[in-house]
Amino acid sequence: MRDKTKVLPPSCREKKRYIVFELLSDEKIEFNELIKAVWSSTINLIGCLGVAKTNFKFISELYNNQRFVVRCLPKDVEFIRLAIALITEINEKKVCIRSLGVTGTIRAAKIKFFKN
Amino acid sequence: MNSLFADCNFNIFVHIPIYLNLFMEHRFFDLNIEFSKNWKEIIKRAEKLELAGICLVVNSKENLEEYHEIIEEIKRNTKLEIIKGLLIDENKDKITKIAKKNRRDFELILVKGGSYEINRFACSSQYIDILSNPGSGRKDCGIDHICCKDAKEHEVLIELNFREILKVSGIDKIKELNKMKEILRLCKRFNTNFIVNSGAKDVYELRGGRELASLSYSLGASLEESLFANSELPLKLIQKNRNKIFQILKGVDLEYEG
Repeated sequence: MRDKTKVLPPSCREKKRYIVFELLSDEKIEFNELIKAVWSSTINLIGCLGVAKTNFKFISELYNNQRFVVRCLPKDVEFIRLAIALITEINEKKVCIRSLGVTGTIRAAKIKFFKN
Repeated sequence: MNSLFADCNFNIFVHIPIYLNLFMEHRFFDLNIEFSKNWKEIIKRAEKLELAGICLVVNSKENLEEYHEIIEEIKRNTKLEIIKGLLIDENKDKITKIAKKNRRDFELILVKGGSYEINRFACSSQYIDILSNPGSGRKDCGIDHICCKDAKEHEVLIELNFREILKVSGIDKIKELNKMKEILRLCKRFNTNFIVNSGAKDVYELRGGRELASLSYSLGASLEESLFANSELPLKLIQKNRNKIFQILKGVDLEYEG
């Protein structure tokens, strides 16, 4: 028997939303620095329990130099958007992060925001 | 009297028993405390935390005869309800064998989860009472809809371990809480029974019953469910198992002992 659990039927799964963000900065921001900043900002705003309840995840496959995607529950989209918008500095480099849009699937996010 | 509440949608008399249930005194149990040398301190602390009963769990690899002797000694000296528990941390093949062998000596039999194979097997076994810590060392929660249905059918409790949150911090704590939330969501969805245990290995890892219940409440269970999971459910389980132990044959009970 494989060690992975069986895939839940669609009716049992939780709904997801993918938020696409754009990073505006003059200097180059490294991937690891960005992940740390995003996690610490969300934990600061909504706390450990809050983040645990949102099913928050950083989708590392879709990271482009300027754009990145995070996953959460539909009801928590606004909290996550706010938490990430509060980031002003990453490793002493000034940044501004803006959200481009929200999608229901990774495929839709790819088609809409990662065409190039 | 009837005219008073005629236009009111909320019937107060129907809801009174539910609310009374929330405010009445609960007898809380902690069914997973590791049996160690400093058991005297653990008993003292459990009494101070106003727990009604604790289950001192011994690993199946350790010396069981010595354990039984010490438990008998503890029972003589304390008002707490002491429950004998056996934790099986073995392969899938050995679980049933050990559980069958020790079923009459122990009131509770727990299986340490982690691997999906063991989790699934424990949920579908009639000899197991509690699946302890199904998500330990995994990225996902360790159980799925099939496990939950099996656990409900075979009356196996799925445990949320409080110690798992104590020993980690930062992002790891969030991941652990997320796993617990997922377990709780599946349990609620399939009406499977769950329980929150401290899993304490030290005196300072012990927690009161109300504190344990607050974990499941803050992860999405209702207050009534979380209180029930830590007070009445363990009591029922222990009573059921004690009746089974004193049964002579299946279906035959000893009514009078001369």
